[in-house]
Amino acid sequence: MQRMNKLQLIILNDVGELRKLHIACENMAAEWLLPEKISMNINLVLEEIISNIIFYGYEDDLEHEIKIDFRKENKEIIISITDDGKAFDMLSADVSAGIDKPAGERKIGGLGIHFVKTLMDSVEYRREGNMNILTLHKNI
Amino acid sequence: MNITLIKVGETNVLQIEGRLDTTNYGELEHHLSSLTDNDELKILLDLDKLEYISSSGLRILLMFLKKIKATDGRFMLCGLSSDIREIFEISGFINIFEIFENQDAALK
Repeated sequence: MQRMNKLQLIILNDVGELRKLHIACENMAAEWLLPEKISMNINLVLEEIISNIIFYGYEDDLEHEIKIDFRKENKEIIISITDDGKAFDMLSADVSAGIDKPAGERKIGGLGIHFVKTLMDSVEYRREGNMNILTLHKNI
Repeated sequence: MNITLIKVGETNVLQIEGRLDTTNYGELEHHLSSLTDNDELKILLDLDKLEYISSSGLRILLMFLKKIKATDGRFMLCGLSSDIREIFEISGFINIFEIFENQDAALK
């Protein structure tokens, strides 16, 4: 059977829509025979990125679509997240997760971005017109 | 996510099963608040059946760790799978929580 090497998911800017990510990641893992850990890490990184877009990306109360394209190429999974929220490059965002701080000084801010940078092999950001496009690479 | 509360001696053991994420962290926050509001400050979270945690879930754990550390209570974790443990390591949480292998070790 010919396996698909591209999958797409469109979710709306509503927190409840994040449940679709879990299902999409399970489908991706089944389709491309990925280890559970890779699927979990991709799910985690996508939840952090997309919840960030939903919570902070929009300056209106309108419905917006966030498009997620999954692609498998040789030994790599490439995922692009496209949204029409305000320009935001998380790679240059000035946030520190402070992971070496004691409990009393720990803040949770920045942890999501830290996960994205740590769990993916590379991440690129570009702004095209009014769209943010974040591309993740994960070796498999 | 399913949350079960069992009292063992003075310790409130919360077993968390399934996924703890942005869509449901409020449920855990509600359970933990119910305990701390009633001065039940010895809490053990058994994560043996936890399949997934994101920063929203970690935020709640940190919030209650800080709250209980300010009292004479204890906030402990046990039963982390290797995948969940790795998330705790990456986030630095492995160093700030009291973490045990299993319930028996924590309740000793």
